[in-house]
Amino acid sequence: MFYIFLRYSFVGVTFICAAILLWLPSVASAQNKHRTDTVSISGLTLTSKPFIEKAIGGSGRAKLEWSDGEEKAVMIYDAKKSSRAELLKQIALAGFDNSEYLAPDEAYQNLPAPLRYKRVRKPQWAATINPLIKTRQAVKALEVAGNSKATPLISIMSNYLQLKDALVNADTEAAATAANGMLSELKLIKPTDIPASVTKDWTNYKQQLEAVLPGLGKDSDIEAKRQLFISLSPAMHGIAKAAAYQQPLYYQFCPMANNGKGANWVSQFAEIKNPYYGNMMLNCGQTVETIK
Amino acid sequence: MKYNQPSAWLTLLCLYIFSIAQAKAQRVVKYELYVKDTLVNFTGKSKRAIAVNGQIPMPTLTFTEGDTAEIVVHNLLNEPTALHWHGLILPNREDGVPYLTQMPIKPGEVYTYRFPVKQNGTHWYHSHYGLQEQIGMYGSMILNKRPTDQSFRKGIDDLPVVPLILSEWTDMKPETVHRLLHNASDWFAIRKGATQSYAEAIKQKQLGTKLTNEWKRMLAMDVSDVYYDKFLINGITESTFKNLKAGDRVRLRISNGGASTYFWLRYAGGKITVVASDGNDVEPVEVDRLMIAVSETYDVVVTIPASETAFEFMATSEDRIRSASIFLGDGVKQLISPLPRLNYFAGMKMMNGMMKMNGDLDDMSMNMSLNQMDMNAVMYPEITGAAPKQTSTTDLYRPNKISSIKTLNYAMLQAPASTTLPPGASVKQYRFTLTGNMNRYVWSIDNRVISETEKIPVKKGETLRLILYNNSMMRHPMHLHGHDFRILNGKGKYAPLKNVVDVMPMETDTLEFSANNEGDWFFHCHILYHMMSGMGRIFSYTDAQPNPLLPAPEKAYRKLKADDRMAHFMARNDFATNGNDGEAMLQNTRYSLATEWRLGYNNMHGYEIETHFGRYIGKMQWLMPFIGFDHRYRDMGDEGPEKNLFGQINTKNKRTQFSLGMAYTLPMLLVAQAEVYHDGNVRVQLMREDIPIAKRLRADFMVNTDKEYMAGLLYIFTRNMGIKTHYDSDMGWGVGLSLNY
Repeated sequence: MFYIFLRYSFVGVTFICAAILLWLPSVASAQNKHRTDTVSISGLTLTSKPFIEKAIGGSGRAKLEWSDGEEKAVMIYDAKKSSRAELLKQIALAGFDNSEYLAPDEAYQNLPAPLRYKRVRKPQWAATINPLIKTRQAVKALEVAGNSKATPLISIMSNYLQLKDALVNADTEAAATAANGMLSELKLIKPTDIPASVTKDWTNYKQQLEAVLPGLGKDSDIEAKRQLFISLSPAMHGIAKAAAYQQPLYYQFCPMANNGKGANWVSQFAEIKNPYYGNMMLNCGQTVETIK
Repeated sequence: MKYNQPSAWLTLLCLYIFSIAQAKAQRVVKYELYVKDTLVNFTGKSKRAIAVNGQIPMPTLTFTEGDTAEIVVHNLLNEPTALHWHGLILPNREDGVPYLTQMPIKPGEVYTYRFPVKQNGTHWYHSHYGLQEQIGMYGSMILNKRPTDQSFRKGIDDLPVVPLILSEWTDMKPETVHRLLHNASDWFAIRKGATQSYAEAIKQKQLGTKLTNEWKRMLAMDVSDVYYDKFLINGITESTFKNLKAGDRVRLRISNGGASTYFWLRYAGGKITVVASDGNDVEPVEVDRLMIAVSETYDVVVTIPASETAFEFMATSEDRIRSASIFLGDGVKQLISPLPRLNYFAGMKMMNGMMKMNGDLDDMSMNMSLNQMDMNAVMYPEITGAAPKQTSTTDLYRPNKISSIKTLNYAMLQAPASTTLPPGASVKQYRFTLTGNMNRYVWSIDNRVISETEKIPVKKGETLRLILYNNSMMRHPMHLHGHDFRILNGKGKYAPLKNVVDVMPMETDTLEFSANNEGDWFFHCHILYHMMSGMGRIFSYTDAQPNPLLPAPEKAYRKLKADDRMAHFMARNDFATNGNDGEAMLQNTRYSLATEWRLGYNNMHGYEIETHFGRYIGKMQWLMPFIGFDHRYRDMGDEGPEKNLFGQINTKNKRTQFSLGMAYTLPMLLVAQAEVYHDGNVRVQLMREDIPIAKRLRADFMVNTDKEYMAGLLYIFTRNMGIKTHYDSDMGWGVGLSLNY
């Protein structure tokens, strides 16, 4: 009896061993499905790492291994559930440029300020004026650009209008560029450039602009920029009157801006495009003065 | 046709514009098309589709104005087919509408279409037979302009060209899609996450909105009807066009070959310049985005703003569930943000405001037309932003006014040359109201489907003016065969020419065209399932030469009418612990034949079968008079006949009765039903089905004057299966599996 038991237990052990042998490769393949890839992501810092992992790590799909200061990171993911391209796309959609994808501008702008990075991967491209369309505005803009007689005040004015348009579009980068442009134009101005009508107020205007422009030129979020933009208005109102700009300008007012105290701006359009709210309340405001 | 991703990068080809154009006029250009059943795998499952020359979409056909087109169709399918050349002005017999301009091409048959190419522009072609368009039978058709043409536009007509045809894919058979739509199944809404149930309403503090919505007898609202698994551009979800550098410009010739999907078109590299629509040039107009309606075509020019970067051009379905993209350029890919999800409850609130109690829409005298006001804009988070408090109600629907995102509308289209019609022609004016009943999926014009109307007679030489008013809750892309029409959009003699006009709910649009092409021409909604439900009319030239392809035109026309007369079947049975409980229904546009049963497991519970045959009355089809037949049996032992609320005596133990009655849908979608049996007994009943409690949870109840009542709860697992629990006054408490077809 005992003998039989032993004999059968032997058979049983053989079976178990065979089963383990058969099972092993399947364990190995289960491990194999985890893929490891080296990736390069702009703006990867200790602060942004959890943010990026959250964008790709839904239901434990993927994680990043990276130590501070390194240029590349290692991405570990389940190749059955996603692919390298798909994950890098998710990272870009969360706002981070990488070797395969560039983030949509909105995604980058929606990043919290501490996560912003310098977008070295993104090529510079200006919004080109479409040669197929010769609208009056486009023609005007070309004239301004090509006008050698543009006075320094006109240059400040057109930089200001670009800054204002950038705020309407909530484009922080373009706003910073325009603000820096204004500041450098301002530094170039010689006393002879100033029309007699504003000599009296010029020192005042200059001080006001110099107080705010450096802040606007820095990398900051859209709300901070809009807040600073308020204090440009009195000076720019004066400059608009003196600049003899090529087209009528409009001094406009939104009663809701500046926490309900109201704020002004100068625009080249009669139609309201609110720089303090952009999309959220584009048409809020009215023209209070037309400057010809 | 396996979903083979970006590896299939296609290079930009356009040399043919120059090479082909040099050839002589009156050239015959011949294509051979082999139409064959195929298996495709877009989602991981193999499904049936139709491929032409082994591909989906069908091959791009290219001609130059002045050519003669010769297209030989080899039907290798087990079913008939017919090809329609969408937007082409050609002899009626070549138009490809089965039973109207030709007999269908039978299985095994070889059929030749031959016609002169008299126009240029971006067009497309598709099957006009059954639902074949949904499963692969669509393709681009590019008609080039001769370089000597007076209208040749330097900087536009000589640009590199990429033909793009948009489409969608569902793993579900199109016949099943059609059947589910007619049976008011909410399976598509569950897949889309658009159920708009009471639980979701409460969570979003919109209970009042939901209640008003049901009070006005509306089901959950959506911008499109069908859930699709994939959206495709040239048959794939993503592809790259290389060899482009900074400053290069490309002309995209886009056709929407989707059976029922509108697409948003957006570009990551800046503005989009629209240069043509439906194959007709328009003055270039620059926009941030445009919506392409089902079956429309648009030619757009985009600029590559930087080298070594590929810019995304994205087509997102109107319901924003998913999208398809192409990338223009080499190197790192510049993405565009996906469109944020629709805010359905905002849309529901808007519909509540517009819907009158009688089911008509009230535009609150906003005089909407030409897509300038988009009521759906209230659902677009990118337009409405963080709750626009300062906006007036009217402006809320003008996306271009409240947002800096510029969206194309028909008022922005202008023809480059005068499009006025021959002066002195007599003008015949028709007013068409586009009508529909979402709950029963009946789509019609002036509340009549095609089979309920006669052809509209047209005299050659007269001017036809059509005024379209959309009194339904969905938008309709109305397409006219064989003619281009002018859309009267305020551009005077430069009104743009098109052959599709998208009419949004509550919009009024006016079209006019010269009756200059003999024959029978289809005018219909191009949403495939709306067309098959009967939303269309036929313009028929009087005194036209008989069409030799239709030896028996009357008989053929009856076949065409059969499309919208088709009855749709549904059945459901609950296999519950207390018995079987189910129904089967066969319905078409006007009639309903429905049977309900309750089958107990023992003699005391017995069984009961009730059958009604009725006709839906009125525009909203809320009223249905019916004749009925009722048979029931049970063995209650000593318990005698029961008395109903009216004091009438009523045996349920063995009863066979005919009845007359009517059902009426009340606010809150309650159905009240009154019935008189041939023994004089009267029964009044109140019921409600499919109350959307939560995303997958439905409730129903019934109570009547025979002192019977029932209430149930259903949890939906799959399209065909759920778990149901219910309490029935006759059968008691039960739980079981609910299956439906």
